[in-house]
Amino acid sequence: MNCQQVERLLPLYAGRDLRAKSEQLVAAHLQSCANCSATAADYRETRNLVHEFAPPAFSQNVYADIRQNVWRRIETETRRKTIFQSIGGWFSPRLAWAVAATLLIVSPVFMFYLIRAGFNGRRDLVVNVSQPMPTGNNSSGLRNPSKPAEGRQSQPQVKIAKPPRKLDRLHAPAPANTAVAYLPRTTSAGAPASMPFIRPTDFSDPPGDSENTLRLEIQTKNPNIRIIWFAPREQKPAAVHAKGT
Amino acid sequence: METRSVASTMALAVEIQLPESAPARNQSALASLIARAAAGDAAAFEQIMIHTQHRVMAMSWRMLGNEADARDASQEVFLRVYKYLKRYDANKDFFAWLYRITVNVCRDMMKKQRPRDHVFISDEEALNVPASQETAEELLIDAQQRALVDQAIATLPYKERASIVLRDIEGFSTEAVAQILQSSATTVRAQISSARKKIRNHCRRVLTATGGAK
Repeated sequence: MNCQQVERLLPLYAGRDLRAKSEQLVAAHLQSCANCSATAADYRETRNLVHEFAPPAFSQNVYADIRQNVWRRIETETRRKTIFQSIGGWFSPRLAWAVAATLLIVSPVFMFYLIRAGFNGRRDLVVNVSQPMPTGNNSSGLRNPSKPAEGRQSQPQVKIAKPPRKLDRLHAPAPANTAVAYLPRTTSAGAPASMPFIRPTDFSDPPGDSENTLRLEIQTKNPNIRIIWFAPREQKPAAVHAKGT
Repeated sequence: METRSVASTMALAVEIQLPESAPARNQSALASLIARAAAGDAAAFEQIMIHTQHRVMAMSWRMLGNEADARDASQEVFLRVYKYLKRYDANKDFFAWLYRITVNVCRDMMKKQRPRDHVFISDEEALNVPASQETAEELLIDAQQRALVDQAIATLPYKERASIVLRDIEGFSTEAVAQILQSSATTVRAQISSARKKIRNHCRRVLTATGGAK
């Protein structure tokens, strides 16, 4: 062992904290090295000083005060604990378990319901573009646009994934052929009252040939005039545009 | 434990204070006290406090450096002992368990405290040494040495301080210190070695600066 190695072990050697083998090696080195031996003596002296590191003598009043405060705190904490226990006593373990189990069951169901409700809200975007005429007696072919068509549920629905176009962006390619629809009470929220409004749900087939014909009803400003437009199903109906005022 | 008779049993316990060394001499007496206290005997717990208060207070003072904090720590220690006495394993050393609580309480208090200088003893207090020294010169040297060690220990980090106090002052073995600090013996040895080196270096530095010699 050289001096550097021994110096690292001297703090532990001073307190006899080394293993027997290491202690023997250090002791052997100290016998031959005066410098390390002096350092070891220094450590030993420091350790003795630390060993005498005594706190000041506290009076008996200090200790009595500590004990008194301990009992006071124990009493306070026990009283507080009793209050909690009394509150806790209202809830028997069985009831607590039952409530916990119920919450565990109800909360996922509620979450599922909320998620479903969220999706249903999005279903409002789904619009019936093509609706056949009802098979029942409807000789006039005119239907109240506010009433849903019978047998609609059995017909296939076309989902429009895209968001609805803004009404103020609608424009007519040919003003001469434009039919302006106006429903005073059914204008969409946020749109001006004078805005043309086309009800896409009013597409339907004429009677007798509902499979091959599409039908579009447009209510004009005059409540007595309604424009009904038929188009063959094979052909895509020409886009109906309305221009806002 | 019942608290109804706390006041009366406390008064009784104060009246029948035993000499402090009695349970220390007799481990079975201490074990009996612990068993009774754990069963809810307030008088037994009062006796345990009486016979351990010096150690707890001294350890707290060495760790925290002032009397006010040491008092608070001691109260907290005894409160925890009262709470967890039922969990104490009678096969293990009670004082090791007690010191572990003390060290933990002091650590918690040191965390709460803002960093500040730990004042172990003032110069005036350092001069107030027992009158066993005969000459004024010896008194002065002794006071200087005490102040020096105090300062050196105050500069140590918490873990090193706890290790050195438990090993060199309280006299626990390295393994016992490791058990108290919930650490390994190797770690404790490293902490002790570092602490001794720092204390020695501090003493040398101060003595060199003041021109004193050791």
